[in-house]
Amino acid sequence: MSAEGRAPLVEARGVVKTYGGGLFRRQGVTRALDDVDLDIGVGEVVALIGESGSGKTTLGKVLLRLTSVDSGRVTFEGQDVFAAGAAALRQMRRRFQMVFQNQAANLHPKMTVREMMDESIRLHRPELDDAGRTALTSTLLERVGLSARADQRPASLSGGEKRRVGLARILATKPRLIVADEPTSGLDAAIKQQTITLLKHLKDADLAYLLISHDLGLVRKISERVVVMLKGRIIEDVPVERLGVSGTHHPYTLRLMQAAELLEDHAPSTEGEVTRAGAAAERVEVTSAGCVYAGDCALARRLGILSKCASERPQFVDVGERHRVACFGLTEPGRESNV
Amino acid sequence: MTAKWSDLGLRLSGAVVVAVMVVGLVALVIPYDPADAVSYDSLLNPPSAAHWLGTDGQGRDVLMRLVKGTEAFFLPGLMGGLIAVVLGGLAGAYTGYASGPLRSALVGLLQLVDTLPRLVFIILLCTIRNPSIPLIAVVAGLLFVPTVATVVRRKVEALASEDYILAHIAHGFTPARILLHHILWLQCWPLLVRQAAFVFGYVLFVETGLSYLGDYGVQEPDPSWGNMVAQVKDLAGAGAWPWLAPAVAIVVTIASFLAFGNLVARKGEEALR
Ligand SMILES: Nc1ncnc2c1ncn2[C@@H]1O[C@H](COP(=O)(O)OP(=O)(O)O)[C@@H](O)[C@H]1O
Ligand code: SF4
Ligand SMILES: [Mg+2]
Repeated sequence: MSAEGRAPLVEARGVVKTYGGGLFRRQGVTRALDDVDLDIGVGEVVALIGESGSGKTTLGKVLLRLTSVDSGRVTFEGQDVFAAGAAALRQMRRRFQMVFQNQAANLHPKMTVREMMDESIRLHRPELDDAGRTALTSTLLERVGLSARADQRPASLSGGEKRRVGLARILATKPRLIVADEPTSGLDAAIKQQTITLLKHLKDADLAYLLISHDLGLVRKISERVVVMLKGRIIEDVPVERLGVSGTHHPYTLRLMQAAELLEDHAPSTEGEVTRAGAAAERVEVTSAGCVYAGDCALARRLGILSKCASERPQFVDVGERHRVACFGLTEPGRESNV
Repeated sequence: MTAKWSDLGLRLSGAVVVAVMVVGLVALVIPYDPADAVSYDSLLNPPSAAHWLGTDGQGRDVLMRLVKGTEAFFLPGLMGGLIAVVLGGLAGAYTGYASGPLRSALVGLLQLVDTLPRLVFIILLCTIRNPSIPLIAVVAGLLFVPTVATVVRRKVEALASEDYILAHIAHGFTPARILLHHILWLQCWPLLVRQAAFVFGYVLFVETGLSYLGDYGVQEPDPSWGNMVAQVKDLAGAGAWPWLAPAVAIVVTIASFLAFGNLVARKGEEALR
């Protein structure tokens, strides 16, 4: 995958991350990231979607070196993120930031909004004096619409306000990449809308977002490219204009899109009924080398390629401009009549 | 307890704590020679303008010995409290954040120390080595390290589990700053105050207890509130001031330190909520 037409900002190659095992391998190993490649261009807004547990948060953390990797390489502005020494990493941390899914994580429970802003500005803008910090605090709080809440502690802020404090602190660093993990989850519709508007408003030509979200509405509104993950792998990488039942190709993406459309139409049917039809008909032993969707894939069964799918890893196929899909079914004859 | 009562308690206990601190400091600089102080002309005098709390069985000024007696526990108590809080805080922050064999070893060691019955251990130590009071205070401080470490560790783990620490590392803070400033300093201070005050009271209790018993602790003619109270054994009702004054001082001081620690901590925790 590459961010064509843009200078690269982040390049992840062959990233593998496993959890668990421990000293005696008691819990079994989770391959949270299974050989993932991802590029993000300067100023690009990339959405990362996929069911819960598919590795989205882990990928976000890996890009920012917030967790270790088993193997693979990540570069940010051309610099190897995992090889960076303490000083280089400190410089990098100013340029890539993360809004955590758990909004409490971003805020000190005992500090006021102003104190937290002051602390961030001291850390990232040491050149500013007291007056400069005060002025910047006001500017940033105004940008996120929190001027009136400067003297509150987190406990008296709403969920949306807490996230905005997190964003205001991040803006003190002048980042080039913000990873936002489920920035609208747990917010009611009106606050969600405000948050989306704010994210759009804060965006400038140099700032890239990696937006992790289940919320296809949010994804459609602000992203340019959508990356779909399943069980630790990226399975489709599609321009946002094509996001939908008619534009996407991977059977799992289609399942997500169908479910979303059904929800939007308020149809009584559920995700499982639509997409798992026929999946149980044929059982195979799916190896970890195979396609992560093989166990559930109706397409593979219809095309009679299940044994291949279950044992070989599908590589990416270009199916259009800036659109790649990892699925054997796409190159098989008879594909159009399916799914 | 209502707010009014706890405010009153805070003021009263706070006044005693401040008074003990001041007297403890003053005692460090007043010269006092217990041999010189003996005066056979004024044995067991009642309180007077010359001797506010009277004199003891050797004609020594009781107030002077009371003041000088703070020396036996003042610095040791502060030291014990400081050791418990500083080492306990650091150990708690480290074991709450780190992983790996060193952390496991430290957790095991803390658990081990925590199982020791403190008083029995100290008395055992006395019968083996007859240590000085400062050494006993160091040991007492160390014996309280696990208590502090456990509470701090839980706090750190709770914040780590909601990604607080990771989010702040992501923002650019160093783990040291997050653990020491954000968590220990800003969020654990009520606990640390409570524990420091408790250990101070504990050291005072142990010191005066040992000195009272006589074989260990501060020996006559050097003054300790404990060996002053012990005079009750020799005076046989001849006069109450020489032992009553230190006895009251011990009870009031220990009670005040415990109450002060608790009330300050409770107020702090309320304010942090
Ligand atoms: N700290 C962790 N320890 C063990 N397993 C983890 C940890 N974090 C994530 N995982 C596992 O890794 C997989 C991917 O998790 P995550 O990246 O959080 O997915 P997502 O954000 O898409 O929901 C899941 O199976 C999850 O259970
Ligand atoms: S590779 Fe095979 S199993 Fe995987 S999605 Fe495509 S057809 Fe289905
Ligand atoms: Mg997640």
